[in-house]
Amino acid sequence: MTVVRTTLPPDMETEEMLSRYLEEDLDHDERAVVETLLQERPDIRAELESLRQTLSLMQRLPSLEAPSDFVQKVKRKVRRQKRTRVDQQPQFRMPYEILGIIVVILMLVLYLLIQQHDTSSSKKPMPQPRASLQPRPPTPAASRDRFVPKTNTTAPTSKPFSSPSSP
Amino acid sequence: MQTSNVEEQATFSDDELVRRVKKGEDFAFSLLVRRYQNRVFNLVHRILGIPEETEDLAQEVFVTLHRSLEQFRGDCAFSTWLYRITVNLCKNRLKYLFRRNFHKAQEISETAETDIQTHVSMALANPEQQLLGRELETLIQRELLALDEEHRIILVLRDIEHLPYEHIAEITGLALGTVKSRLHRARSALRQQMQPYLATGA
Repeated sequence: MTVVRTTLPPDMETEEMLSRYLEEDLDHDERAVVETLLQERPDIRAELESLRQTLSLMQRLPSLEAPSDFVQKVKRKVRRQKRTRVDQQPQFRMPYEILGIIVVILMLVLYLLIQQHDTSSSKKPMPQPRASLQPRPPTPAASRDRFVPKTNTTAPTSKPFSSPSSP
Repeated sequence: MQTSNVEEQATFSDDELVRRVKKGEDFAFSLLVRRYQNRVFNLVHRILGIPEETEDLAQEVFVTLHRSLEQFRGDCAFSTWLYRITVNLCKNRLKYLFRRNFHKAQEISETAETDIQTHVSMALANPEQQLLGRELETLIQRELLALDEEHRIILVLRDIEHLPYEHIAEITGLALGTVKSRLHRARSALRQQMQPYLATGA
């Protein structure tokens, strides 16, 4: 037994239904419902008519034509763009694979150099600090001098600590 | 290529022309442009609605086509692919113009505005009159531009370009059901905007 619907599906609005009706995109039952509504409801009839008129006007919009020199203009633009692309391209292009291999080789060489440098530096004796840059270790004389009271160098005395009693 | 051969070559299919353009044959590109220039021009004009921008963008469509033709693998019809480029470039241009507040509805003169209902009535009363007058065209174009961009694009593709739903879905990247529901909503919105000018007898 077939059940004939007498109302629209709940998710379908009247406008959508009418648009689909004009497109003949409704199933048999939906179409029957719309036709019943159109017979009974003048407002829906008017809505359908205005939709039909709107579409009719749209379809009669004049068709525009591209200017007669359109193709030439396009080709000129294509040529200009090609030239720009060529100008912007680097003179020498290297494939990414080769570039990658070169980078790997360079990194390997760098690694080996660092390794070699480390090895040679561990075999060498520790470099002596340069005399001019390092503080000189105090000699016994100097350390003794440090405690010697200052004397007047302008008037040298032959025996500064000689006692008056000594000859 | 000799000019005398151009007409003969016009019988080539799109796929054949695309193949030849990829091989660097210049005449094939000219033929492709000539074949589609009016359709692209119309589509751009109806979506953009700015006559000063139409030609420039239509040219850009074909320049983009030439640049990216290598990427066309033939997964869809060539025309669908071309329309997709057109629609995407139109969307980009609209965004650009919107940011610069350039986009504005076309004005209809005051006298024409008062007579517009008469124009509409006359046009509807004479269905054999294929094309609409300039004022009426401007009116419809203005109402089209008042629609949401996504709705306008689908409406133009379906009701002006008469493309099948499946192609529209491929062009816009939307599901078939979404295309249909958007189209119905777009028609409904346009009908409501046009209502004051329509004399429905009810």
